[in-house]
Amino acid sequence: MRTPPRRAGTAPISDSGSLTIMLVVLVLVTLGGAALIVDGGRAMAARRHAANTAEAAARFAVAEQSLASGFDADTAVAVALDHAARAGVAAVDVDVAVRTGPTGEPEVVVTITERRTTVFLALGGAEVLTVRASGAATFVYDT
Amino acid sequence: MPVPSMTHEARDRGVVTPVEMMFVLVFLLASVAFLGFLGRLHAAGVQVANTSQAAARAASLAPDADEGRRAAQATVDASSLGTRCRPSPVAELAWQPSSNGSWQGGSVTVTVSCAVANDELSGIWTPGSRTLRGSDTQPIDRYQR
Repeated sequence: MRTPPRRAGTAPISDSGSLTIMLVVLVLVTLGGAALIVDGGRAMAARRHAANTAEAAARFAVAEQSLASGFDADTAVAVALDHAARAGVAAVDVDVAVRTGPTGEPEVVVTITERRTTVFLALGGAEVLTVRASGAATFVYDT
Repeated sequence: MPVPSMTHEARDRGVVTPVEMMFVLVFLLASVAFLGFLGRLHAAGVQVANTSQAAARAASLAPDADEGRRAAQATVDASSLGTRCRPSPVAELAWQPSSNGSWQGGSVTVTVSCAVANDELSGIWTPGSRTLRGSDTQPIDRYQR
């Protein structure tokens, strides 16, 4: 098929839109990279904060036990929740479990959930990132 | 069957002219600079968060609040933040006492502040700076002496 002749005073239409498509692709790549860096970074930071807080809460739950009366699970849970609150984590986002560890000693496992609002992923509909991390500490009473 | 001769418009189909390519190149370079800025900003934030955690841990091992403050600042001074922050990074310590009011059994929070010049983040001359803050809370062993 022969390309219709161009009329004087009109713009060529054969290559129109090629730059636009390229720019759209570049904008999408840039937004994707920014989402990876910013929102991925926020998720990693939240996970690290959750892990730090969980480990510290578990350690605190064990360290606050009485050497005289031994391990008390209710105290451990209360202390872990108290430390999480001091670190700025709401009690509803903290899960404390007391179980018997591999060595037969009591073990406190704290799991913390944190949420972060997204910046670039919000453009795709994901407005909140949820991360979860756990920390454990074992009560060892060494005489 | 005669082959139709190609018109100028047909030969141009899908071809980007040098002027258009310049637009794309400028946009590409700006995108790379923007992503680099975000990446360095995130890396600096992670560094500040890591340092605040180490400083809080060091403070929680001190026998009292004054020693804890010194330990936290010493940890921050020993970190690699000194090469990134202008002026030097600062550690602020706050602590909550235990139920009987003592340092032992309480918790300590260290907040590290670090001002980073924008041109270090962007890689090119940029005015101003950004202040990054990171904090971490650690329990103090009730049997700590």
